[in-house]
Amino acid sequence: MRLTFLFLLISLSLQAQKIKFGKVSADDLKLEACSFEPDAGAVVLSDVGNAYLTFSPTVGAQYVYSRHVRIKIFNSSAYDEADISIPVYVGDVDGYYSLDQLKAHTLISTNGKDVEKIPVEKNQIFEEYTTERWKNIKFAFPAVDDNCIIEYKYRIVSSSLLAVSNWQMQGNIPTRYSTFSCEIPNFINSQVNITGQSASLVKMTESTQTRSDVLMNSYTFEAENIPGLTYEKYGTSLRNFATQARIVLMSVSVPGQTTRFLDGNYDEMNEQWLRYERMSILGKKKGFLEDAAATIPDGDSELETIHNVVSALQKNALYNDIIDVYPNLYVREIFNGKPANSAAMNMALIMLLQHKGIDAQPLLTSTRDFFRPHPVYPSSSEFNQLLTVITLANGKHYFVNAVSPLNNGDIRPEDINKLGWKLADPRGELIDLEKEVKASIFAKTTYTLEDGAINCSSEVTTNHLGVHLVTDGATIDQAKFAEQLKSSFDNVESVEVDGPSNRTKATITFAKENVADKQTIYIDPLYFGLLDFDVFKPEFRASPIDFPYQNSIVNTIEFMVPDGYKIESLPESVQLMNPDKTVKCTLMASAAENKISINLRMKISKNFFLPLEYADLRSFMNHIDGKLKEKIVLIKTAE
Amino acid sequence: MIKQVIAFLFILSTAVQPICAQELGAHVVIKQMTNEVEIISSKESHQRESYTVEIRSNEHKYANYFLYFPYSEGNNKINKLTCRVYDANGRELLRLKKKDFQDNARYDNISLITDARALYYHIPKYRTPYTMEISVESTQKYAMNYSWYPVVMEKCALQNASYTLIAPADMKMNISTQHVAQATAKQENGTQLFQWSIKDFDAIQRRFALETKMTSLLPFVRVVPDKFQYDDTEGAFSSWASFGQWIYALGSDSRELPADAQNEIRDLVDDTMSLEDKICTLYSYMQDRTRYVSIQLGIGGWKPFTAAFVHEKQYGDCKALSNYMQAILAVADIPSYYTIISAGAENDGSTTRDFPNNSFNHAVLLVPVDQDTILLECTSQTSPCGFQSRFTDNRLALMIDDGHSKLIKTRGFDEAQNFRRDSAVLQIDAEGSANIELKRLSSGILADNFHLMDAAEKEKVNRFSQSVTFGQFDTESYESKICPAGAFDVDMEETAIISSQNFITKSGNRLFVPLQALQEIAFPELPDSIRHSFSIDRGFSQQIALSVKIPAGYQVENIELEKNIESRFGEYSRTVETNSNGNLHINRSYTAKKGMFDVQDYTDYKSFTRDVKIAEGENIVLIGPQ
Repeated sequence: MRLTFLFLLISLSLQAQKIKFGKVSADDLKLEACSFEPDAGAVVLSDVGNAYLTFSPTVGAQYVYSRHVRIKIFNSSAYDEADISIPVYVGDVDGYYSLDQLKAHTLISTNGKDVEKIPVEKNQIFEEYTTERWKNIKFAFPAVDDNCIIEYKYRIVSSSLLAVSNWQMQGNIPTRYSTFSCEIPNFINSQVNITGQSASLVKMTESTQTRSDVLMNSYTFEAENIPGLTYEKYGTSLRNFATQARIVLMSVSVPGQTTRFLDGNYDEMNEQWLRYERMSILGKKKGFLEDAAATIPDGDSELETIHNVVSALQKNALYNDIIDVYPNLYVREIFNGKPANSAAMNMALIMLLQHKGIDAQPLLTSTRDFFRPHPVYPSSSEFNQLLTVITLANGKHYFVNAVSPLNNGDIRPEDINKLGWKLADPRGELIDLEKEVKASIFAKTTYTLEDGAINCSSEVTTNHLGVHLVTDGATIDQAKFAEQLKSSFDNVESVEVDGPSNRTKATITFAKENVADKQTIYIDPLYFGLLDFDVFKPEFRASPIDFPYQNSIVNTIEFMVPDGYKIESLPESVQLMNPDKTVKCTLMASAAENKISINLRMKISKNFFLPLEYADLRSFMNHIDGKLKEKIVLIKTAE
Repeated sequence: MIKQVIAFLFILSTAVQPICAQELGAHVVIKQMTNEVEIISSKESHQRESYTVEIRSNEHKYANYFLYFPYSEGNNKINKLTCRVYDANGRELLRLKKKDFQDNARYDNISLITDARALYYHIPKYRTPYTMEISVESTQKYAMNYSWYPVVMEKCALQNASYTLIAPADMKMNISTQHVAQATAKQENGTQLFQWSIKDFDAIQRRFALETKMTSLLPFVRVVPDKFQYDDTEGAFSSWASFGQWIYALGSDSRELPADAQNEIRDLVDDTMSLEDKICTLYSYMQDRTRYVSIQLGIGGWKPFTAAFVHEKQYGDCKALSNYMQAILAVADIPSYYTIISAGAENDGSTTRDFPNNSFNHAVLLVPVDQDTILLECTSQTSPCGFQSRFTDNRLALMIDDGHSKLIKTRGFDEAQNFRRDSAVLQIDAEGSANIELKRLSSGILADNFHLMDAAEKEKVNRFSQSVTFGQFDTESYESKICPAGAFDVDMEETAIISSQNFITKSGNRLFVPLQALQEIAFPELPDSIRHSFSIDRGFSQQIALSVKIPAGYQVENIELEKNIESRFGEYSRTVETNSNGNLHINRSYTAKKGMFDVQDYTDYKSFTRDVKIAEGENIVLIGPQ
């Protein structure tokens, strides 16, 4: 995306704070621990970035980006921080990139005053061509020891606007000071914002100034004492939560020329996507699609028709196993048997559904391990997949992924990264998938006590995401679901799974438990779909909990107690909810005429919990876990 | 147009093909494979390989595996590569040439940089079954083996495969095979020709973690040249000593330390110190001074960086660091031996006494001590001196000694040495709140978490909490330390005070105390049946002694006081005693016995584990006043 039509030349660099390469304060030399994270094995003392964008009629766009990183190592747990890998684009599709001015050294001081500099020698800097378009510049710092400082700097010059990227201020280890200054010509309308877990720590200043007759916008981001971040269960990728400064180039407005949209605005993005040649088929009637749709039988219900279309497409189109947000083919080409990526497959699905009279549209979104789309200022680089969103007759959204390995194209937890943009003419819609996609389970467990043995069987009905609650499984079909259910318990006699995946019914029969010789019988009520409470075992959590979907479970338990036994105690009936009422658990246990009835309802209607909320959530979850372990106690009254 | 659509919708229908017995459960069937290697000299060989593979599984990893061609930059070159894909009706779906493949760096997740690369193609998800016909021609400069592994994955059946090896008549070859018949051999026109073939090989299906290792089930022909060349060096596989001599020569000029380093080292030790103290002092010096950085380029994959380089840069890979440690010990006149080993949590058994070859991926340092030897793991900054982990235990390794290199067996641990012993006092109140003072001693492979010694306190506590069964608990205090346990032996001692609100369940006037406290006695997931023999490679024992102070007015309602379960696979015992003041002493112990077992034993193993699980799943029920 070269803007060679521009003729202005702008050049300016900023220096947010004077941190000179190789000049380290005595305090930093003596530093023995990170003040705000004393446990850390290392701290980024400073991470300073400067960038500017220039244009000239001869060279075109040029983005010059320099970075200077200084890290203090405290102990061996962080020695890996001294292995550096800098990715550099070497392809020619998006313009050139080049890395130069690389310098790196280790600083050691034995007395806190005198500093020995041990350079990374040039012959110890390696180039590794990772793919045909990317290489890594790699090196290891020498003489790394406890309390040493490592420091490196480099510059990247690029002709691509794609090089204008976010400035990440948070990594595995804490960062004491991070700053990024960036100058963008005023004729480029840019949007800057700060996202991530520690966004409140970041200060941003903005100014304009005239240089070389061109007005420039300059932005400086500064943050101090940003904690380190690690992956933990029920989180998502660190990219979702790492604190970062986002710079989105929205449009170019040169006097006398039409404003050109680049990025950063959902409505504009909507319009651009709909103009994209491989999307322009949307909403249009095509003979080949009508013919194809006609071969697919209508179902008895809207959902059944949708599933028929998904099934026909999955059976007959060829998926190249590559997830992308941009279709690699025109829809017609897919019908000619060419391998289609995930976006193209979904486009084919959408078109077939539209020809079936179903309101289907593309949904731009992001996989769970990718960047979370920004709710207001989207960056096209933060979307990596295109799904299908259907507006059902009842007005509700129904989400499908044409390449999902699950039957009927049910979306999986890994497809959900909170937000998606529904492309539609004339106006799209931002959808919060985490709120609209729910996992649900209904389980009915029946106990009987006959001939001195307890029989137990359960019927578990789930929607497709509820399957994940029961087994913690990934992508599964019915056979695997049955297998996982069987291995989840020690005493399963048989498992039968039936029904379409969006409403799976599993019937589980457990081995009889002989209690003939027992005077007192203790029974653990069997509940399905509970959270993995072990997730709340760690006392500390650095990253947020981020459930991909909301969930609700209902368990009913029935137990006919035969003559000769007395009900001694039941689980206590309780209604529990956390202070903001986003986690609710109601357990009702009663006995009437020798029939024990237990009803458990649990609902989590909040997806995102900050680390600050973890201690309270943990305590609450542990309380629920304790209540759900309460037993049924029966006493034999007669032989 | 309608015809085109119908074609789209129905032309890919699957034709059912007959399945042979050996293909039952196979996700891939290699229908035909021919592999021909022609050795021109010790620095040039050519390989032609073609195979026809039927892909039956929708799991894409199977198809993608066959379109992944690793090579080593500078030593291998893939000259020609073609692939054709056909549907079940024989219609061609895809035709690929070398230029269609991506050329990417290959990562081992350890190294900073290596020569390793691969050509690969990400195949579309064709409707199964489909067939791939693949042909590869490659050239190799230096080779230390010309081995053949026709099947390398589970659920892959093989119908017909052959391997032809052509070598100069005067080039002696050493050969070892497994599940492949003897070669036919002949000599003609100054060359020798070997040919192996294999037919109707059943798909391997392992469903149980303890089942026989893949390396023992796979068919292979291992071929190593009696003499080989690598860069400008020459070596031989005529014996372990000869191969060891090549390794020795690679490092022979690399052990000289600068004078200032030598002086620094001499200052660390003196004659008053015991040999153990000297070794451990110098090991600690090496650990403090260096870190692990893996750079594997060219002969650097074999030849260690010099000791002087490591001393200056303070980093190196396993070879460089072991070589450096050897140089350090030499300054203190302590003999030691650079030793290469096939490391990994599982001993893959690839090193055998009767077949000298290169089956190694790691280097350590062996140091004679009195009548024994110890291994120093030089890549860890936290490993205690002489501590041997499951990474290198109980296997053959090649000790490098000028002219006298030989295989040695590394130390193994038995159930008496691999233990975790908990002693704890559990205090319970009438509401079910519980508090434990725990002392844990771990030894052998169960103590293998020394890498946490430098970790953040929060991480230590989180890791500890994952290893303790006590519901969700809060840690009031936690400490860990390394305790000497004899010469070059250490234990890990952990002490903690923890409290839990949900470990004990209160139901009415009863308190349910799970027997399975502190340590979980865990077993691998058990399938209904298995196909191969199985083994417990390392014995270990778990012991938990728990004194329980029960709340006033409560007494034990229902527990079997003593339980013993014995089998060939292990022993479980449990005792519950009540003392005069009503408190309880619970002792649980479990010992897993090392051993090899037949398929027929699996039923007994399942039965044993089920009995132990049932015993461990019980609660002590305390009943209190109404």
